[in-house]
Amino acid sequence: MTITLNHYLLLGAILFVCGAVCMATKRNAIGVLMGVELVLNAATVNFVAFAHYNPSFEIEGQIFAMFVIVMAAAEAAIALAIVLNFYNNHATVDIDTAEELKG
Amino acid sequence: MDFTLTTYYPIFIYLVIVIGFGIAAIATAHLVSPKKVTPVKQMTYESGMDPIGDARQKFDVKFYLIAILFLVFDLELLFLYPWTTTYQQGSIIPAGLRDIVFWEVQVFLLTVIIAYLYAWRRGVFRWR
Amino acid sequence: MSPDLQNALTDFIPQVVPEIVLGVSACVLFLGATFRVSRHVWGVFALVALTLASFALIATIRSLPLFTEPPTTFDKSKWPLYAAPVLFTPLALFFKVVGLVTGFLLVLLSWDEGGEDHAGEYHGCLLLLVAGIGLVGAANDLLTLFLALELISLPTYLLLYLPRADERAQEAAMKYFLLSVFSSGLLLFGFSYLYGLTGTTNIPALLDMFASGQERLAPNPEASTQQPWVGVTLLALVMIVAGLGFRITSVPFHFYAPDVYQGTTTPAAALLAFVPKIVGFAALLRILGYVPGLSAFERPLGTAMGEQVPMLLWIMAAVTMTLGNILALLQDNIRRLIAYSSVAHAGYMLIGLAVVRYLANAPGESVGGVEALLFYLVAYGAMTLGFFAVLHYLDSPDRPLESVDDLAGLGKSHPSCGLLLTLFLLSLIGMPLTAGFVGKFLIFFDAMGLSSQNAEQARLYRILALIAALNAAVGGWYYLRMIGVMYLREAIDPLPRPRPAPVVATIAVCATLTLGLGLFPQSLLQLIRDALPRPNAQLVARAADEGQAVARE
Repeated sequence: MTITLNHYLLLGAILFVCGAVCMATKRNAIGVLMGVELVLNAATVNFVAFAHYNPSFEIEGQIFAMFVIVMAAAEAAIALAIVLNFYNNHATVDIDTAEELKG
Repeated sequence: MDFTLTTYYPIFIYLVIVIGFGIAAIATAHLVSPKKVTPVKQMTYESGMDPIGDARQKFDVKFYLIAILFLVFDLELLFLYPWTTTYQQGSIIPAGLRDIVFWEVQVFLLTVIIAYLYAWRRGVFRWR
Repeated sequence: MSPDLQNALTDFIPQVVPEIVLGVSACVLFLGATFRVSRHVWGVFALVALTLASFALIATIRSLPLFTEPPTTFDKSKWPLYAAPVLFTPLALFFKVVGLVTGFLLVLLSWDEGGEDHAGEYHGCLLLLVAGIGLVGAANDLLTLFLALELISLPTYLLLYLPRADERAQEAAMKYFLLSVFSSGLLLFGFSYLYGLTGTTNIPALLDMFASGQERLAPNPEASTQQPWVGVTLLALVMIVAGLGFRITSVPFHFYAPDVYQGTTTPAAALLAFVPKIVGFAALLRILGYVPGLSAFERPLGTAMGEQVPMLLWIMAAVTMTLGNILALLQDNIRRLIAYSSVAHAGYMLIGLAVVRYLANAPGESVGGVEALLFYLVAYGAMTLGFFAVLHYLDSPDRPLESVDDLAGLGKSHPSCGLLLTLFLLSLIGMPLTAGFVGKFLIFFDAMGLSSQNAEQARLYRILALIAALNAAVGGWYYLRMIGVMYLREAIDPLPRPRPAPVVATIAVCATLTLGLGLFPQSLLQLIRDALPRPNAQLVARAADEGQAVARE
């Protein structure tokens, strides 16, 4: 079986759905963050696959992927900093305990 | 591309040197160093953690700070990699753009240095 | 690579000098804050940096021509438009100016906010945010657009997080962060499909590919016969609209707003109410192809991305304003109330976006819809920032201003503050002689004015205008309730007399803008009209013909 563009697109879609479901169901802040990373990586997979499989496409896809990877790292760094402080205050990373704000 | 073993000779030589250096270092240390056995030294080395006890022990917060910084600086390298690999090859970066790409990379490195200085000044590297 | 394209890749640098000034100043602020702790020094520095950036912008306008000439052929190797990462269009200029003014207002508004030792970082983040607004307006490439949006998001997280370290602020920061990153992910996923369909990330090239029907989910040969890419285009658009919907707080992506506004500080809430909205709408305008003068194609404006988009925006507008207003009725906390009100206002603005497709190609002296939307954004910014600024001015740690009841007796104890709050609230209701009225008038008028083209469409948009009018009436109730509490009730524990602070300048500017735009809307309208080139007359005529043909059928 040859791997075609469609397989990669399917992989991207599955990753995206996994990420979204992970975000919706996880109670752990780090878990939610992992879901977010999956969503971002799904887009990255799509970009690289499109750029690779179409001979007429230039390398914009790969460049986009690179920026997304670095962006995701920057976001993860901020998230970890926030979670770290959250932990110091709440002594847990369970975001369901964050319920001061409801209405 | 044709597979020829000769292409990989430098890597083999490199591997031999690396492994040889490792063995040499351990052997020299074993022969030369004074031997004084203490319980702490007998412990399995686990990056500064206590190897015995619950695996779910708490890490010191200081580790996280370093990890966060590592995460960011590590991935900044990603921008340098394509530039370094294409810089020597004239066909990839057009001649008119080579200078501007060079200076863009310098500016990028400058911002990384500024971030590093900021972290330094804020005392992230101080092991309190 | 042709010299033209090469120039396009280098010529943009003079265009972003204001943003470079802001970026360098932000670096100085970050580093400087570690050497010297003083909110006044760094506040003044931020103001100086903004002033310098304004001068740089003026110099840019003087020395560089604005981009107004659309390409005549869709030849990607010939037109710099199809290679430039940013474009100095009149619309970009508009957003740059709005961004700089917002920057001044926000620096003054948050002068006393947060700990003294983080003042430098706080103002540095604000400057990066302002640079981001300018870049979103100018972005000509999906990558630039994405990075500019992130340049706004990342400092926003810090601005939510830096000033206060208590649990509520952290919870708000975390909630906003997770949802904002998810929205970026959605946006990015949509972008990836757009790239896959067209093979380019350049926005004008991409729109022109769609307009000429060249998009393909290549290189699968059978794909071109089964036309599966139509669905993919729609999927991509829905994801992009959803991703940007988070930023403009449109239903169903609004739910974070009340919690975050309530949990964070007043200046940060003011920022969240305005900045993500303006960049969200700027990005939507660009991606949906609603900015005239950038296309090589003899196609009416906004048709590139399919016919379903206006309908999607119609539904979002109707649901957003209705739900926002109804939920606002139930609120007692001022900031939650304003959060829902901001959701409702996003709904009104979406009407402006929904009608563009039909109005842009109608004969007239302006691009309907876009013009109204931009005016509404400015008016909304003035009144909301002003409202939050007064709240921030009155608020003090010993006597926090949280619920609507805390406003009781304000009309007597603080007559001038009461009067100003009343002005901003009246503008939010949409009373005549205020900016809010003109904004609402323009938007409703656009929705009513669709009569000439297609009877079915016209009826649909009249219904939307009717829904909006009903909503404005419902909205009047909760704003008037606040005014009533201020003037008709006695305070049990009157608010203390606030000390003069730089925030007064923000209040003054916002009040002047709110009143000034209400009394003399023509000045700003003319500026916006100049910023939006008309689509060329032939297209307008052809679109009118097509409309009549459809109507006859």
